[in-house]
Amino acid sequence: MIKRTLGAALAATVLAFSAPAADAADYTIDSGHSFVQFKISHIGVSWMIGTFETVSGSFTYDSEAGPEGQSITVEIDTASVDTNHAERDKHLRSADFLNVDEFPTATFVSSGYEGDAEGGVMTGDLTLHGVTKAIAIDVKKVGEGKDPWGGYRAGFEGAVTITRKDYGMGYNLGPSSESMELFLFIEGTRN
Amino acid sequence: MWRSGKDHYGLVAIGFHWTIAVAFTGLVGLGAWMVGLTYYDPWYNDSLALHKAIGIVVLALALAKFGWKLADRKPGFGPEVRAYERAGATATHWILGALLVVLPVTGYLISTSEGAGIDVFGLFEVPAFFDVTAGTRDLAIHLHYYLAYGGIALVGIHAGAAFKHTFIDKGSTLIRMLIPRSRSNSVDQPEK
Repeated sequence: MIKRTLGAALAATVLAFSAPAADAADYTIDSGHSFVQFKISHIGVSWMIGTFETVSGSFTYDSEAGPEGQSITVEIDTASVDTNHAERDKHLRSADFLNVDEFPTATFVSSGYEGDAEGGVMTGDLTLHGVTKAIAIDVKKVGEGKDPWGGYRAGFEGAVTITRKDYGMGYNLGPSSESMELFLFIEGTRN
Repeated sequence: MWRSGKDHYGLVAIGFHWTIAVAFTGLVGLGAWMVGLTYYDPWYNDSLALHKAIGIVVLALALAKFGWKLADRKPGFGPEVRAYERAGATATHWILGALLVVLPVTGYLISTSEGAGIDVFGLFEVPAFFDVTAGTRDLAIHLHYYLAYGGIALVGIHAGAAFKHTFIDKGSTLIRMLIPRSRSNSVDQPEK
């Protein structure tokens, strides 16, 4: 009798600890609803917007867990760059810029987070064009909740400014186009 | 005069040959030059627009040339061209003819892969007819590159052979492609 109660209590304790740690907080990035975009000046007169169409990865989001409980890994297929202009995309894929044959994947792997459940700063390593640098992305939660198809989703947006030549892509596009903004719109389905 | 004869080329065949020769060679040169231009070169955008427009014109010229060739009489090789040289020459002509279609088509597929058409000198636009996948596009990029430089090497062989048959073999191969008249055996020497 005592043995059985102890066993049940133990099982309940294990469930209580394991459930939020593994299931509730781990998300897989939904490639169909995630976008990595960049915005760069066009000779100072306007903006050029580009998108990486193929984005994948996973993240852990636990609104109860505090800063240590949040992390993300994003993988970007560099050949999926699209700026709505065939020859420009060809140039962007070439060795002058992304060199997609040699560096087919760009990644962001978070290392820390400061902020609350609604937003903050996500630090981590961005590997782009074979160069890894620490960056700090301003992030904001967009929303979370049940989707109409039986799953649970959460979405975030992030923005960071990077300098092209830091990543070995210093091809001269003019003084106003040396840095560019990266925008990440990441949606995940809870595992 | 306009049509070819048994032993000479007509003015139309000669016109097609040299127009396409100049345009094709020019396109390869233009392509090699333009890919090295930097962002701030005045020709950075215009060179590509010109390359695409001329490419469409060459495709149209090549198709018209093939059509004309079907209807035209076919002058045989001159007596100075040996049997094995005839086989090589025929193969070269066929490959060059195929390149006149394959190169513009691969270029077209690259340029229209995002859905934009090709503007031809502001006169009209060739729309993007096909939905080009990334794999097809990358194949087209590689084909366009290697076939263009391979093609120009073949043009060199073709021209070298014409010179050989004209100056070494003392034939009329090159003269025939310049003068649209039957000149029997009296024109074996090139005009200086």
